[in-house]
Amino acid sequence: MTTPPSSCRVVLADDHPVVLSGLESLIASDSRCTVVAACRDGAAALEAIRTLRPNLAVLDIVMPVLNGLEVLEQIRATGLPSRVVFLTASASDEHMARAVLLGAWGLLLKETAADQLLECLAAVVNGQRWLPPDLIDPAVRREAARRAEAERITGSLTSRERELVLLATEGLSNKDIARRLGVTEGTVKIHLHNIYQKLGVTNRTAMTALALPHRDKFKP
Amino acid sequence: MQDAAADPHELTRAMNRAAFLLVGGALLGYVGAYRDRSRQRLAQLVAWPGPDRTPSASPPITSALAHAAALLRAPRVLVVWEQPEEPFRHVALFADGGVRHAREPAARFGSLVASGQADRTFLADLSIPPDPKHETARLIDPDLCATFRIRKALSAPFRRDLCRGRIFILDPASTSDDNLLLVDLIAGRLGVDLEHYLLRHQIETATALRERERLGRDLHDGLLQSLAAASIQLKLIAGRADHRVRAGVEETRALLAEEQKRIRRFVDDHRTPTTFGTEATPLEAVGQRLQELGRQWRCEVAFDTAPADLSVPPALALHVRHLLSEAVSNAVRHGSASRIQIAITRSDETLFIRVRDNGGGFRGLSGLYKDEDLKVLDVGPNSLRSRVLDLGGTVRLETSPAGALIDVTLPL
Repeated sequence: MTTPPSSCRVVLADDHPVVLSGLESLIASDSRCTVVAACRDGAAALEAIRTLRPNLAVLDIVMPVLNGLEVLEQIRATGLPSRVVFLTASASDEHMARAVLLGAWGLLLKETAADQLLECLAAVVNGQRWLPPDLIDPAVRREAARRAEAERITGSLTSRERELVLLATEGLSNKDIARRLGVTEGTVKIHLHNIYQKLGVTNRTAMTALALPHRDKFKP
Repeated sequence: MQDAAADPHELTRAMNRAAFLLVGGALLGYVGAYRDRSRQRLAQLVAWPGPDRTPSASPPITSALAHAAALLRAPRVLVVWEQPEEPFRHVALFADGGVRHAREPAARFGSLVASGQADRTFLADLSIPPDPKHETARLIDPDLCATFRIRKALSAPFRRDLCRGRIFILDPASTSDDNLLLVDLIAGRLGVDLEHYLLRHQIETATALRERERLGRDLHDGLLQSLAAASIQLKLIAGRADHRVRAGVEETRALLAEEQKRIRRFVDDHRTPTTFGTEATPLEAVGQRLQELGRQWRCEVAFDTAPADLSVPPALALHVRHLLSEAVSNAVRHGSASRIQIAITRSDETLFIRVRDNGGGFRGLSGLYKDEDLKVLDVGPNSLRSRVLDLGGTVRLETSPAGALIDVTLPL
């Protein structure tokens, strides 16, 4: 086990007071660490990091005002030296992949925090990243495959089909789409049928749900 | 007094009166019988059964179509309908007491009937050779006729905000004008039933999505955070406690950690899908989950797929995982099984799952129960069956004091 240096100063941020207080107590139980600020949202955490310049920032990913990933972006953009460790109850593959891409030093699930947080902080302060491969690797792999699949599929749509998907996500009816594109309703249905097959969906709700997060990819 | 027999005119008059009376009586009898029949048929029509009561993945119109067939004494009833915003045509054919549902591209079967007939109710008799000069020579789309072997049909349209289509009463016993009126009324009722079904479906989907998001958020923001905090506090308490107390606290913490994992997995699984559905998901991960379940329930779980790298659509993989979790938990909790064998295979259109255990079987049941039996008797693995039913599949159960065998088929 690595030992944290005595000057390990930590900014904590979590919007759940009960967790924040528990984490503060846990970190304080190690005499070599000091919690210099405990914040309830991302903006307060960023402000504390700017002013207090801690070695470490332990952030929840989902937080009000600024989320943990946005705080990390700001830290990087402004060249602050604090190393960021994410502590999350559950994270989507996309969040985990983005955290790694943005240069997070650590990523930990809250369910393991009691056993691993102090060890993780020590490792990060000593220059080792704490990105458990059993957690990160499958998530990054799945996210990469998903993105590639999204690219492949949107690439397989014709420009007219992409245009139609965009209009459908705006809530337009087939009649309105037909009017907008200057075609008949029957033609809109033929396009929709082809789009469903390419996207692997069976109804308009599913198509819209899939397309909304990837709207940029459907723009001409 | 003059003898009637002597007056031939008097005799003719008498015969005429008798004939009039006879014809009048016959007419009155006919009108009475006609009125009774009409009243009976109207009463039958009023007793429209509405949507099917038993849950099904298909539109619940079996009872309605059976009713229409009985009312018009026809062996088959065909309904073709579409939703304005979807690129499909739904086809339902009632025959031999059951309904076969299919989905076709929107352009299949053209406009269903000849132009100019779209809003009309009519009788089409294909046994009479069509007059090529006549505008409506081909009343019904030839592809539709060929696909469903239509020879004679009464047909009426229905048009609602959420759906529009036509009903075809195939080979009816009678083709009177009265029947045309009845078909018209039946088409209207069927349109209302379908629209109610679609509305219900829309509301259920929206509610389920909202509930799923709410539940996921509540679990994430509430329970998971509290468990994490409790685990941290217990860790701190354990650090200050003596050896005996520490052991108890650590055991409690381990239990909490298991629950945290389980809830996190649930939250992860129930995130709103934002991925494309064509990417096949290997069932390998299901095997890992089953090993965890085996440890949790202290039983041996053997898992086998053929082929070994069997893949299914991502959403189905999730359901399979839940189904198997439920099957394992049932086998141990209710049947006290110590060994469970799970095998999954697939064809082009179906996934087959077999779960066999060495427990004591289902209490009070013995022998083979098909899906229909389980439904009618309301016995067996109810919550598993309800999940399978939602996916449009079936369950078959074979149980004895030596163990249970559950066969699940799911459409791909």
